[in-house]
Amino acid sequence: MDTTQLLKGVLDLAVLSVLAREDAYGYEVVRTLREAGLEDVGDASVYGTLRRLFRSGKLTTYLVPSEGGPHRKYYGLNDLGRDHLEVGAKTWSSFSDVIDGLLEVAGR
Amino acid sequence: MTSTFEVHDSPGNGSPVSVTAYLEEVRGHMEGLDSEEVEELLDDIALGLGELDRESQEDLAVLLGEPAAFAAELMESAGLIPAPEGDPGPTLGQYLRRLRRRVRHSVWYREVAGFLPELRPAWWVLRGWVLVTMVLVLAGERITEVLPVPEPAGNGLLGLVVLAIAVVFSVRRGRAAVGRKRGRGRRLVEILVGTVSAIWVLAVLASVPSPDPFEGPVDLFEQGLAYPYQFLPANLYAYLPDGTELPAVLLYDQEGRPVELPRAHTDPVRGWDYQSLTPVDSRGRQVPNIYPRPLEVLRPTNGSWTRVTVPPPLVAVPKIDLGGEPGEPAAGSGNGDAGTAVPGVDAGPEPGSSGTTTAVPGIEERIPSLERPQDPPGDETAP
Repeated sequence: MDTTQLLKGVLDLAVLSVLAREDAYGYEVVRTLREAGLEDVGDASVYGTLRRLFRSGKLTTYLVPSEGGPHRKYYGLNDLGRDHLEVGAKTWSSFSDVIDGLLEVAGR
Repeated sequence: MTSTFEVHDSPGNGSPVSVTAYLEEVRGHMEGLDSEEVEELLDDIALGLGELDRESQEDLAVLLGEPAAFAAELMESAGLIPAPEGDPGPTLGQYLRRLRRRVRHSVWYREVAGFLPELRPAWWVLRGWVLVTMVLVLAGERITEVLPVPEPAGNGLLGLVVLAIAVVFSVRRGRAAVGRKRGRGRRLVEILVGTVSAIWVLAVLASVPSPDPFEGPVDLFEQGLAYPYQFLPANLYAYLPDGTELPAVLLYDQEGRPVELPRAHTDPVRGWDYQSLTPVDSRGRQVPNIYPRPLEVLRPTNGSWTRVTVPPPLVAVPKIDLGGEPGEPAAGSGNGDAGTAVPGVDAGPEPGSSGTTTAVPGIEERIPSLERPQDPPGDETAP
């Protein structure tokens, strides 16, 4: 099954989860998601999601000088972002329970 | 995490050339969108892609896909194109932010914004003035008396000193803050202070009384009457140096013109409407410059307005000894007789002899009713 379509619905939640652990810059978020198993996640999707979450007031950003290279833009969760993550986690949890239940009934 | 890497050829924004070229193509596929939003998004990406480019030997187009596809994915995830369904459109906040960006990029905004810093010294001075006048008015000073230099307790010099201190303080603060980075809260406070100041200046300007035929100082000048208030008195009461109240006097200015107060008068402080009546002599002729005049004030009584006669004020007249020059009646000899009321004053329009018991020659002939100044007010025909 193509996970791209599935991912679209939950990428916000995945990105927020990564940032809930610690603040990170864009490329770091991409890498963390891939290392967690979302190999198909596109760079563009992550950057776009970060930007959209920031624009809707769920993230804070700050620049950190990096050694020898350009500054890195770090993203972090603010209160609104944490609330959003909490609500999203509950929704995901009940949603996946429903799907799991359906799959069990189907004997898979 | 990266540790060491080779610094690529950086064209201005610190992004390696290959990343710049790739993003340039991506940008080409994002035309028609909010340019500033696209720039910010691509700036973020440039930082991340630089790192990816350094870590990998592969071409960016292989790692990230064709720029067109990358742009499409980016726009969709960033919400830069309308979602196929269920998009509620931009929120008010988004709309305002977009509007602000558009304004900030306009030519006129840049021109005005570039010129504004030159006006800063004027703003600092104005800010000092606003501070002083606001404090004074809050402390009970009348708003009409703070322009241009406030006079706390009627003292113009004190006002100048306080104003100078406030302006110096404001200018020092302003100069110290130039070029300093300000947080969002600080900026908000500044905007608030600016707005309140602007409203304050308008309020003070609007409260400056326009020359009113009955209340303005111009009228005072024309009347030839010195009176240290911003409005004319409703009535005048005269006393002898020994404190005896004079039942009636005729007032003239230095040109011999009768001094005539307006009939209608509003006390600007208490809002009372006074109405003075013109005394008439026994022949029914009006004597406009005789004081005190019968005076009435409109007062609310039991829900309706009624006219109430205003009694003479309670005045503690200081006893003054003028030395009693020869030929003049001794102070205190006046027993309410109008003829002796104005000793030695030759105030009549016609030249006449002074030192007589009749101060204004011919006055008894012209105004016989002076002898009975306590006639009921408002009675147009003397008995």
